[in-house]
Amino acid sequence: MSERDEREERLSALIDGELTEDEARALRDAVESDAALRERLEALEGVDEALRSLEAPSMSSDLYERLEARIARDAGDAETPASSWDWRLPLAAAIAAALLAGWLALPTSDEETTVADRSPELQTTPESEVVPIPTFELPEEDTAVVEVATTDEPVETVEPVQETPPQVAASETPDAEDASDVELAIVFELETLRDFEVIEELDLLEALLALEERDQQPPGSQETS
Amino acid sequence: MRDADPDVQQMLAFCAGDDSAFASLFERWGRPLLHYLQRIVGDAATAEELVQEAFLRVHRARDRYRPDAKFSTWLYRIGTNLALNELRRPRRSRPHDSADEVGDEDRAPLHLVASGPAADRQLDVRRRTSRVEAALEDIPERQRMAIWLSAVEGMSYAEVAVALETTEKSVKSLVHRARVALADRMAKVGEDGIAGTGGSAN
Repeated sequence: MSERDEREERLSALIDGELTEDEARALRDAVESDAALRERLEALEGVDEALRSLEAPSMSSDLYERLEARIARDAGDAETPASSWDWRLPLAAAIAAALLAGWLALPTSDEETTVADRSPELQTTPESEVVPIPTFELPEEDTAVVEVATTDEPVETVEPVQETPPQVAASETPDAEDASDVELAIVFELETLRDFEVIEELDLLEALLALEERDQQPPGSQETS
Repeated sequence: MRDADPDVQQMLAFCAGDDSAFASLFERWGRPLLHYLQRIVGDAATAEELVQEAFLRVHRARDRYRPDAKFSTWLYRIGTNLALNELRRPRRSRPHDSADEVGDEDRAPLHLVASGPAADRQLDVRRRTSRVEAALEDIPERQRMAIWLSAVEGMSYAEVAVALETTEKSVKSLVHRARVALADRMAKVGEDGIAGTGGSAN
């Protein structure tokens, strides 16, 4: 620190009343005999004066009432034996798991197939990684498929160039959304349900309800495309 | 010393079941804390939320409060931490980002309805206020906090150190650097303003 900086820091300490009596007296004597030092002290004191002159903001008249309401909510939460997540998440997961298990047990078309049977991309994945939900990892390109399956609007897709069996990503209309899409959507929802917000919980239940409705429709109605 | 702090006594009364003591503490410290937080986060609505949150934490502490410091020092420490958390969030548009809230010296003459020495003095005060507001937004947040607590709230370096969770030596440096930075910015804006006025006159 330069001598000038050190001297200025002492001026600040003088303003703040942080010098001893002897230090303060010596510095005031120096200020008396040094015009530049005096001018600097005045400039620094001017800052404090300007800060103190700033007008305090007005406070909302209902701020204390809002605080009291928050305190009341806080007290209510503390009295609740468990937070909403403590019981809602396991309940939703249990319902989802039961519905999923029930749906998987039903044949969905003339021949019984699995996700891996119908999705060539998943055939390369060991079955142990596909079936148990907790360890299932979506390939990156499947993420878009999940988005297709979970949105109402049709998503533009590019025609596959190579002659390969229809990929999961190739569903072109909502009606053509096949079982593998829905399964992937459910898997995705279960993954997100564990980690994210309540909204996923609701999405999952909606997806499962839609799935049930679809299964209850006459077989011919699903082959419109 | 701390036990002599009337606010600590109020807090202890609140801990003992006197809810009106909590209301008194809010009455005494709500607005100064709001002013401090608004200068730090730059947004009145956010500052009010933080005041609420700070007092909510004071309320929650009623079963475990220990008067280790003056009540105001403790309260400002809570407020400071909340403000720092708020500032660490992804930046939202804040009113002080807009020219409407930043001191605009050009608008000052519009409010001037009188002339003469009193009006000149009023204009000087307004200009200085605008300059210090603009300069305050321009310096680092820790410096802003330190100079505010020291110069406006009148805290000692030791108290500011508690509020900012740092050392007295660091506070001394923060306060000094803030004061110098503000003085230099205010002087520069003043010079620019004079130069600008002269230029436009010609």
